Amino acid sequence: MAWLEYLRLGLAVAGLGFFVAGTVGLLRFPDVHSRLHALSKCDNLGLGFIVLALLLGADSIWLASKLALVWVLVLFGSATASFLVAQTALGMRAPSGRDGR
Amino acid sequence: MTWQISALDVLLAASLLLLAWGALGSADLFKGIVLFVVFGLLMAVAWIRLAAPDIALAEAAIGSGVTGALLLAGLARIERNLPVVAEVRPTRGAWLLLGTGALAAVLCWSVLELPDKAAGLTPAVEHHLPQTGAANPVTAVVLNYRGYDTLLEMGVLLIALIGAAVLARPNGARGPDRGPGGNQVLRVFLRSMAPIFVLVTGYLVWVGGHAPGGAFQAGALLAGAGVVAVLAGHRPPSLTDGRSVRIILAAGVLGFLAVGLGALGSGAFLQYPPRWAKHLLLLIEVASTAAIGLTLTMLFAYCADRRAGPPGCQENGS
Repeated sequence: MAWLEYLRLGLAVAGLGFFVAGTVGLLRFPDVHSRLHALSKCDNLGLGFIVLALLLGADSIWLASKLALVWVLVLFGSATASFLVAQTALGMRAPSGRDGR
Repeated sequence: MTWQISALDVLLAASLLLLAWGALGSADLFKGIVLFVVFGLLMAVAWIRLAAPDIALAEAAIGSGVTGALLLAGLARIERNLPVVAEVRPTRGAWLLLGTGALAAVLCWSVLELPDKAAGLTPAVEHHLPQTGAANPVTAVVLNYRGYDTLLEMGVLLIALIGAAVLARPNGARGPDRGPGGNQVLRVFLRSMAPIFVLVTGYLVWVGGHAPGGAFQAGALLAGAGVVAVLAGHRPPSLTDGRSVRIILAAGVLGFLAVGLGALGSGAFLQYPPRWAKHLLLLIEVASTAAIGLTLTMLFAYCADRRAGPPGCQENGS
């Protein structure tokens, strides 16, 4: 199925485009928060497209679900890390909820 | 030596050299540590290009993950910028460059002179693989063929922890762990990811028998969960907490020793009887995973102890 290979290639190139966009944003944006915004495109859409490209060519359903799980875990981890970096950059103490602050 | 070198490999090698230069040469320690972590990640990719996925897993988990966390935690306690060093004299610099260049040339020549078709020890390893108790040759080498090395490595880890415990301040926070009181984001992350951490740790231990994985990688993942717990505000375990902490820490060495001494009955020390080898290996791996995870977590807790360190030193971030 040649069209499947072309589809996978197209998806991978799309993911690559988002990675390039995120990297350019990381290098050129003026402050921490806008750079974080650019980086999240890398993790969400860039990795998502590349995982989709790999999914379509996976040998078994287990491999495909492992790839999708990797993407979900990266989403969660990078979202948490972006939050923490942004909070630190703002210089605020994060709301802890326990002391009611 | 015939290798297939692609553009990716050349790019990878060049990036590794550049990152190593940047990590070592930057006066800003934080920048150096970040570059070191990225270096570890690219090193893991290099290991995959060399067809060594077990080492790639260990490099990503321990070399750049846990070590990066330890370095950052230690950085919070010292000055962030190195003092300006005196310039290196030109003659000494020339001698250093000559020596390093000669060493690099010898290494490159010896790699290029490797015979094309040398099989090395692979036939011997694969011939006895069914009797080792593991279907993955790397696990067989680590836990069976070279079991002495791994036993002593677990001992080294334990000694390192004891050394860190001696240097750390006594744990002032007495009393039970009142749960995470710090960052809410980290609390949510920990609460939702903790089951996945434990599940993937168990998976890595189990799959290490027949595919890339193993005790060290699983232990490093468990240590990652421990690091997140410490950062979220949980009180880290200490050596004075009770017997269970000390038993788990020593379980790596003790499990190995117990199995090794038990094998004396059927042969020499650490000569597992082939019929029980698989189960004995699993036992050793489970004990080692728990020990490695707890040891690395406690090492991080000692490094991240805010109350220690010289007074008036700056901390990065909140």
